[in-house]
Amino acid sequence: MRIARNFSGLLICCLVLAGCKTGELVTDSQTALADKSESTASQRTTTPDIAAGQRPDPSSDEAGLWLMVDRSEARTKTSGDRIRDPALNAYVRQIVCDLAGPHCGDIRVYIARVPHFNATMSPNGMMVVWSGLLLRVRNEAQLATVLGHEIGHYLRRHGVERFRRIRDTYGFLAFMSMGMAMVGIPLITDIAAIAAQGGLSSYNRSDETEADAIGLTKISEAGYHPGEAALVWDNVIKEHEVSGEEKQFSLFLSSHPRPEDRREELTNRAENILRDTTTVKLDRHTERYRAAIAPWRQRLLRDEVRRHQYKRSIGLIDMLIEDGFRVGELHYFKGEVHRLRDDTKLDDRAAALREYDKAAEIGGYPPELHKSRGLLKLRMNDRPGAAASFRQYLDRRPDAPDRNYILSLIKPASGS
Amino acid sequence: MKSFRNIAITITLAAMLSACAQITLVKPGVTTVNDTLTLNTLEPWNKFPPKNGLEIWTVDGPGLQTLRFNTKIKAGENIARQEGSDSGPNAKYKDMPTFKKGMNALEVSEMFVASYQQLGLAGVAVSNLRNEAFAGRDGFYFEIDFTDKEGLDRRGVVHGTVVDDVMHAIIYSAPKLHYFNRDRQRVDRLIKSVRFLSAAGA
Repeated sequence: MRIARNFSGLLICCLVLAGCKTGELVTDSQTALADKSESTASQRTTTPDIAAGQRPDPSSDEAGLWLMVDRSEARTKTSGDRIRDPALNAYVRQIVCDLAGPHCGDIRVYIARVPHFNATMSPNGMMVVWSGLLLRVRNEAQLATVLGHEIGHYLRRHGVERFRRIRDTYGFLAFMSMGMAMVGIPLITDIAAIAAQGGLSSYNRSDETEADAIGLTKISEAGYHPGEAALVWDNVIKEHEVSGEEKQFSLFLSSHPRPEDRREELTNRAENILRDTTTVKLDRHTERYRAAIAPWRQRLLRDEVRRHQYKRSIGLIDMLIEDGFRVGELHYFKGEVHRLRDDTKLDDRAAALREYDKAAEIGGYPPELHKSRGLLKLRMNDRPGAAASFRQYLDRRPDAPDRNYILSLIKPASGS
Repeated sequence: MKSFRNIAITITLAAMLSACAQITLVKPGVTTVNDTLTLNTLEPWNKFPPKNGLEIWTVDGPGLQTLRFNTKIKAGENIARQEGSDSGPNAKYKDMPTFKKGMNALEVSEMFVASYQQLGLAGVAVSNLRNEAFAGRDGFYFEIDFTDKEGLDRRGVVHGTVVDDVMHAIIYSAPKLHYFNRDRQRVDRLIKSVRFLSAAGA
């Protein structure tokens, strides 16, 4: 019984991952599997779109698939990574509903605190939005682009199609073992580790292209500027470029259509929409988006900095500075990346101090800036300077949880 | 109610894991850890085979409480004591922060928080950071709260010191519900008895 339960758990892993929108650096074996399954895709019969409120025939393989993913969803609900903030959830949920229309009630949205750019859709309507996505998109139209894409996967039932392709090509057990290889660990809630291991699966080219097209149509119908869809990919490509040789580029990039191709395809489609439709609205809802993520922005940036992917984070923050939302705090977090890297060859200490100074000049930074500057000066043997910065920190944050320790760092300087 | 269920699952997992690993009994009395520390325990513990300078003890199973003896961490090493790689299971250690010479306790706590986050733990937060003697030397202490992958809230306490640019730490962690407080006193007694072996170079 336990073995059976474990097997069902593993299967759920596979299905959840199969439901993912994108993949990250699939291994050679996974690429081979994907290629083979893609060749099978051309032979498949098209599954009709799912209707609003529809559940699979209880005797079908799709029903079994849903049942197992339902169990996975039960674990998602209690996952420690889940962001439960009612306001943020209501905001994302409303966008999904506006896009999904009659299917609104069929899709459940969860926000996971995982600092990678991704969102996933499972065959049963479980959508998981990763917090790294919220940090990166610049406005509501861009967020809607990704959500609309995920809804496209659901409507077209890409998840069950992928399940059938792999099962038919390799057999059920092979499907299971591939899931294990993808995951590498037995806990399905460990999505951060899965992401780090590059184990996420992706849909094939035609599924992704189809979901892109559906997403674009959805956002246009909802009144968003269709040109923002291509900009999502543009930002992803730029972030990958600045990350250099570092492996952890966006989860989007190993999806089968190259991001450059997707950007071009979406640009062309958006131009057609804008040309052919005179009534199209062109909302971006930048301010509304910024207001929604403002309470979370510093936490999202802190999570990004803690990835310790220095080049990527610096590049990303530079792009966000260019975007212009709360630039002071961005300079502080860029300084944090430099402080944590602390590479003398790259002159990180001077760079960090410069960024802290810029943040202080602009304003809107957290009090922790002064603590960080103090730590840096301590490393540079500037004890009076460190003590002054620590005092500024404690003045700005009298209830600091590390107050007593900070005071212990100040004392030696004041005694000398 | 949910937490009790999670604990039950954890117990099961722990039991399954226990069946696989080579666990040995640590009898009450004076014992040596990692060829670095000596300590006196009044109660028996179960010990997993030490690996890469990391020795893990437990009473009821690693899901319910762990005592991690993480010794001789040199500059460039992470607290997981694992080499990172570009792919495969060790990819998750690739960007894990490493110990650096000259780090103070606050910077060490930052390293722990980022490491825990990278391992997929949520809501990681440090509190009660302070200077506190460890093994008869100047050391540090802090508490670290987090939520595990199953949504169970856990608390850890970290006791450590840096001697000659080498860090040594003992981390006790357990679910906040019941277990953390139940075993806290026995851990505190044990920590107070810790001393460096004279040959450990500390």
